Amino acid sequence: MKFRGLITDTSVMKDFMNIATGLSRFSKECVMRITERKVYFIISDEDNGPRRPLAWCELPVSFYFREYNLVGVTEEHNEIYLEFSTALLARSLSILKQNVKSLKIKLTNKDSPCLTLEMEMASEATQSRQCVHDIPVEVISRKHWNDYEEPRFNDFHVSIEMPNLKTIKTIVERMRNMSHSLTVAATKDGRLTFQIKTNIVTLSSHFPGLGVESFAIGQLELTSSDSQEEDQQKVSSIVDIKKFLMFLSGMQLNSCRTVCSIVHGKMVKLFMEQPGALSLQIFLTQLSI
Amino acid sequence: MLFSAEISDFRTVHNVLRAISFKDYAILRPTEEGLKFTLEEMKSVEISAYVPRNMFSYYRIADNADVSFKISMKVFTECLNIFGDEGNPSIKLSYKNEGAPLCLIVKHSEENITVDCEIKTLNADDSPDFSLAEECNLNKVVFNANMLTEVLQRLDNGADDITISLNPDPPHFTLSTTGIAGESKVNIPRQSDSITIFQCQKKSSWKYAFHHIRQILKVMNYANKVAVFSGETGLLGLQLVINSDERQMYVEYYVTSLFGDG
Repeated sequence: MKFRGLITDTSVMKDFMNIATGLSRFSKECVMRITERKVYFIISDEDNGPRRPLAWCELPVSFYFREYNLVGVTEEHNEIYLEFSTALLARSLSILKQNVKSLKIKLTNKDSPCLTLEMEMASEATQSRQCVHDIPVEVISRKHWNDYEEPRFNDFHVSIEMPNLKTIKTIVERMRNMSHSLTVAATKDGRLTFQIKTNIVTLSSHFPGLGVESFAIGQLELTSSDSQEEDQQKVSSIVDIKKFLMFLSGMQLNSCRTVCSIVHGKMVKLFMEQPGALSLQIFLTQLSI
Repeated sequence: MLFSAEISDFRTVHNVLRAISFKDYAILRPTEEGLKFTLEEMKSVEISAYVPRNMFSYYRIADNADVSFKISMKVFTECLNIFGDEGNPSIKLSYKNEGAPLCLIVKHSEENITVDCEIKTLNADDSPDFSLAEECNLNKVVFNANMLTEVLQRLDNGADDITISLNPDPPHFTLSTTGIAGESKVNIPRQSDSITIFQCQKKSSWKYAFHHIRQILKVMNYANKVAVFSGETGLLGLQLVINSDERQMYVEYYVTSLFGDG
């Protein structure tokens, strides 16, 4: 089992640092899945019950690494799964805020398995300086890989483009002060609605005129109580408002495309993409009330 | 429809309402003159904010209707602030009939976003709308708000009580506190630049719980002028004038004195 990657581009290093910072906001621990063409960061739901991914972040190797060597667990399964602290990763990578020439990431064995980050500092003096961080990791054995499979859903009732994330964030933050669950709903004509309902207030914010990528409500029996909008077929799911906000505040990415997909009464998937560089998916399951 | 109104520039209104919300529930009373929000505690403190009719772009009350109801201020102010600092929104308020929710429609001015809220209302039981002003019409001092706020903030924060004395003779206006840390005293003579009106017929000196006075301090930061009233019964009245663009809104505060005079 061997892994070694080298990043030399300054802006790519900054991107990598921002991803680590974002991950550390999501969760204490993450799993890094290293494959030939992609590196994944997977965050599992911390709630009880079977482990299932909450956040799924995908990085193409070719965009980040100038040199990349991988020898996986076996020839057939040429992959490595490592679990470690997101906070340690984010803190170690924060050195990249300074002037760093290159970042080398490798799997080492120093008493225990570690993810070693070697950063070559650019200094004016003739002598170069190197900064080495070892992050203790747990290598996940083959039999547990199934826990970190990418969730696949192809039964979304709607996929709709999301409006400006900053505006949504402001609104949902106010909502969080009043409720802990959030209803995400979308209609065929491109209206996305966020709603909270408590015994003292019902508040809905409507974003009309958004692009709908797909809408398949044919098979769906709408027995919901939204009788006023019967002519306006609507798909909705109730999710944890804190987790929803986490997604909005976690990664500050510029110029990305964001799509919200809903399985009626089951789950909401938020998908964010910076084409060629990164994609992030968040899976929020319906709250059972 | 018992009451409906529309307001567009309400940042100051929001700030003021948030600052006076020392309790969750407030009574809303739309009158011909404007909208009044009142919070009270144990019949010893009452704080009201008036948003005069001229601050609304539309304002209508059903004929001869005496409208009043209770709502959660926390929820109401969150709704006013739903877009945060951006969006320069406008709000439509409506209250259909007794027991109906208060409906708010908030519109973002730049983007096509609408937020609608229905806030549950409760009956405003036993809320006599009598005027407390008559009870403290003996003495009156009008201050520049910045100065008075600063003086109050600089008094011993841990103090238990504060005595407010008005005197026709020097030292005219005195604030003194007592607490674990000791005593403090501030005299402000009527000649002070910060006093614009000083009318005192008779000496009055009463003691108040300092934690009550602190409830009004937050909103005093937004005020331009503060009038202090006192009377024979020990009731203290403060009236704050708050400028919002060209217009003015008001906050009134009444607090009863602690037993015995200071």
